Amino acid sequence: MGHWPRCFLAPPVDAPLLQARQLAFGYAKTAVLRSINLDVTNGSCTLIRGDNGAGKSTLLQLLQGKLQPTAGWVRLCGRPLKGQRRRLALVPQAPSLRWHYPITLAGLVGLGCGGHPQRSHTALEQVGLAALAKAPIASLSGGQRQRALIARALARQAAVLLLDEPFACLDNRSREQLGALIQALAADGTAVVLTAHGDLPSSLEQVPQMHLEHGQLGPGDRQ
Amino acid sequence: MNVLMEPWWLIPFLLAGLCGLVCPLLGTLLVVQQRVLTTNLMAYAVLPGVVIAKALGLPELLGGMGGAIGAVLLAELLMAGRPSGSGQAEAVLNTVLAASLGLGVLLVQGLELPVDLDGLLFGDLLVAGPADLLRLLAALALLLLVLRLRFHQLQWLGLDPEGAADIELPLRGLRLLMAALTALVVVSATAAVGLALVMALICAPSLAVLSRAESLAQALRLVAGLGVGVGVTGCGLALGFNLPPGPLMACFCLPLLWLKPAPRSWD
Repeated sequence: MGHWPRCFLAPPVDAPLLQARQLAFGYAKTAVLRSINLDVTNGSCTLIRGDNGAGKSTLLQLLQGKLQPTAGWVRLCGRPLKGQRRRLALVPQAPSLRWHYPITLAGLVGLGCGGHPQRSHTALEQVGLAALAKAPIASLSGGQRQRALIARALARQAAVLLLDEPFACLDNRSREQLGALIQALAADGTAVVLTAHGDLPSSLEQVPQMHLEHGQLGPGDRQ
Repeated sequence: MNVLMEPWWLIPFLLAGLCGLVCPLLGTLLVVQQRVLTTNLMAYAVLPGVVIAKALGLPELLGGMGGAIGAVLLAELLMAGRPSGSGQAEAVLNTVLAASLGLGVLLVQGLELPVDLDGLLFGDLLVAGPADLLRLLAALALLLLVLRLRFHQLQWLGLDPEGAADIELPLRGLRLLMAALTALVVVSATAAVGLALVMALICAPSLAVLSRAESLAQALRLVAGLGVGVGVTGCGLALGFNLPPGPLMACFCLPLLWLKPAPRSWD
């Protein structure tokens, strides 16, 4: 499996790939997140747990640069996110993607890498969807759609994968498949940050967890 | 058949065919980008722009494009801050559309300009000239150029606008480009089908092919052939039966909506 350069200017070996410091965010007078500190390194899998409405999705959007923090900062490879957002792939819980668009799975994944066929094929193999390359995206199941979006992120050589509630709405089999895929991607060097609530796939039960509660991120229990 | 041998029918036929090519090509992009309602607004907002241009002695093309783009910008301004998905955006678009049409009619009457309102709204191929043909050819050339240079970005825009923002594509610029292109095509198609009927040519052929196409490129190829067929056949029937071509072409588009194949199974 191919490894891609994670940083244009490689940070020191122990330096985090993605860093958030004193991150805060709120809507109107309501503080959603306060003083969030997070370090994400190459090949790590960071699991953020929390109840509905705890601010998990907001945190991922801040990490991806989609939202601007009211205080604090996020850096990728030690530099501000501006101009680097394409290297952070956010797979949202409810993607805005129009699944009835006339495009095959290979075409969708190819969009992530400017149509580079080899990278597209490799990414589809990584997520186990190579056999469906020529299928229209409208025909994909919920679990396949999640994996398709991950493949698109991989094809575009994202440095960090941000997965928002990837197991929501998946049946047990699809959850286990996706959990195993996330483990494999991390083992292969991709940094993964994911949010979840409720039961986890067995493959992710040993992953270190953080807990988001009352707008603050703290260490969580291992389950 | 004798009528086809007359050289003066050549321009109406060419215009109908070109219109049938350009409108559905653009329409396919607009349908997948979910911008049809905005396009409808632009079509009607061409009217006050053209009337103002006539009053000021400016080119109609300039006035029409200005009216269309101005109406879209106004609608965007009025939609700002309203919750998306609440239906309020559609309400704003339709209100601006009605107001644009009303303003156009008021200006025609108020300024007492010699404007052929029927011709503008419903098209009049018989009075079209080489200038109309050249304008439509220029619109086609520009559309093909944009497709050639920006196809990848347009695919992002249609498939996943939020994802496009995430990878920092110039969304605002792309949308402005599409708005300018739409305005140009709508104004250029006025001579053939008119402002009120151009939407049929923009939407119907696209709807007929989009459900069966496996890619946007394939959809564009299919819709080009279908659109030319609709334009030329509609024009031919109109001339043969002595009917107005614009309304006939619009009616001719309706049966296309039944061309919907069963979805393919990949299980």
